[in-house]
Amino acid sequence: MATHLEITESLKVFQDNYNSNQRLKIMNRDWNRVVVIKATDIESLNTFIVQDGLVSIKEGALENPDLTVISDSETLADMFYGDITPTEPYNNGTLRIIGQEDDIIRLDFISLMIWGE
Amino acid sequence: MQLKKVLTLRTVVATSAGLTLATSTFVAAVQVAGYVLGDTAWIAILTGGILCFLAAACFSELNGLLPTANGIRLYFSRAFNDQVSLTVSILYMTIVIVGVVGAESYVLSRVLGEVFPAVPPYMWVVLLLLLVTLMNIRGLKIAGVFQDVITYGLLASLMVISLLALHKGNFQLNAPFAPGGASGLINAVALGVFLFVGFEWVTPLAEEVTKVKQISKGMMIALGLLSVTYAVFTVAMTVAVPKDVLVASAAPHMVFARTLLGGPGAAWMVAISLAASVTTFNAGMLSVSRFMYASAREHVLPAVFSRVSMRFFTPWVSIVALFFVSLTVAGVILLTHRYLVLLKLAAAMESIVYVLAGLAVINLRRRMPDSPRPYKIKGGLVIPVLTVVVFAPLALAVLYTDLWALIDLAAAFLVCLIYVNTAVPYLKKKYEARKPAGRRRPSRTTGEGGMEEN
Amino acid sequence: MKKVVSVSLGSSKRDHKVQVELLGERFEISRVGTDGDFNRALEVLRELDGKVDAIGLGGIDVYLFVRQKRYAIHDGLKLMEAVKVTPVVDGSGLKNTLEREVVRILAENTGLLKKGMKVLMVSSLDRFGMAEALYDMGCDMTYGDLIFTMGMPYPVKTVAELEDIANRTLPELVKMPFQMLYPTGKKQESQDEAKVQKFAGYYYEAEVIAGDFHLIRRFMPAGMSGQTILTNTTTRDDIEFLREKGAGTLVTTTPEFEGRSFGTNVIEAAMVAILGKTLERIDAEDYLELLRNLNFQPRILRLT
Repeated sequence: MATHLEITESLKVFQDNYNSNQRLKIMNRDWNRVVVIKATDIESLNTFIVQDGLVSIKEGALENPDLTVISDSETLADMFYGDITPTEPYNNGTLRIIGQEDDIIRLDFISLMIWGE
Repeated sequence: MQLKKVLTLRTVVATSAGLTLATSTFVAAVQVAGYVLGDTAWIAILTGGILCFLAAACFSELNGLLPTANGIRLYFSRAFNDQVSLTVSILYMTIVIVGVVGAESYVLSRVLGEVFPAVPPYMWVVLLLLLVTLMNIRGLKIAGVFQDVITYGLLASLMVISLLALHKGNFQLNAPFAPGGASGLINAVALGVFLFVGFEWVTPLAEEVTKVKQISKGMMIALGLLSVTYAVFTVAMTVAVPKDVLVASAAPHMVFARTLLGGPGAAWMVAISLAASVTTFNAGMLSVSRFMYASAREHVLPAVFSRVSMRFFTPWVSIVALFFVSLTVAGVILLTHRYLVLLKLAAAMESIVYVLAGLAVINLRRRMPDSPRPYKIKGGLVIPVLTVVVFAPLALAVLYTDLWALIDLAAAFLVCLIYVNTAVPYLKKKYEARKPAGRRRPSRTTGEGGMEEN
Repeated sequence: MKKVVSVSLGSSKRDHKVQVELLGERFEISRVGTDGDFNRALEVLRELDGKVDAIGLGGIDVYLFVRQKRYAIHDGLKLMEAVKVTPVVDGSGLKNTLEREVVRILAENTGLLKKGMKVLMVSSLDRFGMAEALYDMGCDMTYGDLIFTMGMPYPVKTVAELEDIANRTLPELVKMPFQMLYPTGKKQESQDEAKVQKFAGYYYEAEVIAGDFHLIRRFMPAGMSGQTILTNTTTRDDIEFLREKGAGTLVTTTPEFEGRSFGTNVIEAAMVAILGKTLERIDAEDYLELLRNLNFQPRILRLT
């Protein structure tokens, strides 16, 4: 079981990698989304905001998110650190994402652009 | 793509009432009637129902505080510790599924054996379980609609047949307000709790409802509907058939229906029994498979149980595994005929979980005072404390009157404790070992200020 | 007579059965659409296995070629693995060869493709051969995979960047359910109105629109101004659709026989049946030689 702190740290690592990637910022310049990250096995809620191509993180959950990413704490921490890709947990049901199909693929794509080959 | 956030209040009520509405509850209802004098079973049943409202209030607060598919697993982990939570959750799921499936299969086979003596009773159980398994594999939404139709149809049917019986007896009740001595009433109430076993099993669906508050509302409505239906039905049975005849039968509701309406009545009751068993098996499979799925996700059960069908988005491995477990349990009970022990075992376990739920509310009010609670029980700690004070003696009363139930519960507890202390650490270690070596995530330190897995 | 069947995840409305002669051999070619039903496709494939000469998989790509690398879409592989005896192909082998050839023919023999022309490829990762050939001949490319697949307004302009993005993302994206990556079944018959409106500009600015027809159709706005459409296979209804939208010329890359055009999977399956070799021993040169023998020419249809 990962801790809330570990999940928050993993999100910061993800945020830093994203914000230093010029191409991703251009790609997502009009993709303004609120993404809530929720752990199922510990009390951990974070909000990941993409606004004008930049990512910021807030503790807790904002209301009416565009996407809700739900998984166990281990999967969330590993995923945002880039140790595992979202595809496998998504396919086997460990990771659930509630939102529009395009947004789900976009989120997957962003993580692959950061951590991919 | 909105992923499976599909359950409505109607389905939450149906699911909550579904596990509870079982063929075996008719047997338990008659046992309740046997403990009290005259036609006073309704007092014990309504009391049982009202007491369950206390537990429902506790579950509602816990569910609002921690809306999760993990249900009691997470509530108890936060309130006590992970080991207590894991042991109790596994014990609870095992006992209730074994108790409910075992008792249910036995009673149902008796019912069908009366009508179709040529067909082996076990065949019916296999067919029903197969039907429910396929429905569950096909997906929650279909199972939800299926649950709605059967549960509501069943409640209406029971009310109609009860009113017919009461009408036939000119609504004349025998000493309806004099239940007799306190010990009989306590035992009746304790067993009456079994009638409501499983109403709270709807909490694991917290992530799949459109509004989290629907879970609390659904549980309360289900309890209200069930209390009234059971009370009226039990009184109707004792009005139509002598109590000693009912108590001596393994399928008392069949005796009641045959006495009241002859052959057509028996056929009607067979249909009700089948529907009741389907709702029970269905609700049980729905809830327990999700518990198994969630447990596998946190590496408490082998990872294979977390597999989800890509076509239907349901935990198919857990569902299939449950199918085989249920088949085995049903077979064993049909051979041993020890179904009454199961009723008592499940009633005791249920009461223990309610006690823990009350304690969890009290603890979490101290541990997580500022966390938002969409549903907070009014009146401070009165209701959680009452829940503990009421259900602890009830659990003891049930175990005191049945030594086998006590032995079985103790043995199951021991097995769960050993599993939690040996198999679970092994599974977690195995998962850790499978992670890639070149991890970006910093490894944990166990020293000062470090983070350690609990 | 050799029998070739194309099993497609696409709409069953496009089903047909014809007899044609290819290089002196009679072929009965039929198509079975399963309306996006993956399990039905598996059943049909198992049913046909061992009973026909070759099977084509339509409505789904199994292999995506990015230069020397080949990525296999997991859902596509599952379909392919259902067939144990009969050779089964998805058309990607032929597509990689054929579509480069089409670009060469159009550039050399017609005025439809010229250096500097603005070309929008609605999808390019499923036809890297065409994407590369168009870039190499000097077209001003817009690869629209990110725009149309995930609504990201990011036109990829070079093959190098396309390759970089492909190599980062494809190893994982191929594991996603296919219907999340490509419209199947009923989705093929409708337009994505939101994207049609949002990204109409890319269509209007281009002189040539290239790529998979289902995707071109799904996102094409009304009021086109005579653009050339370079795609794989179309039906009469599709041609009517393009006319209504205002497209100018239709070029289909798949060969036309006896007045019909077939999907690359069907042609590749027929070629495999003619060659009589195992799939591992067939290479691009085999396909090129057969195309020459068939005197292959792309079909060009003026729509105005």
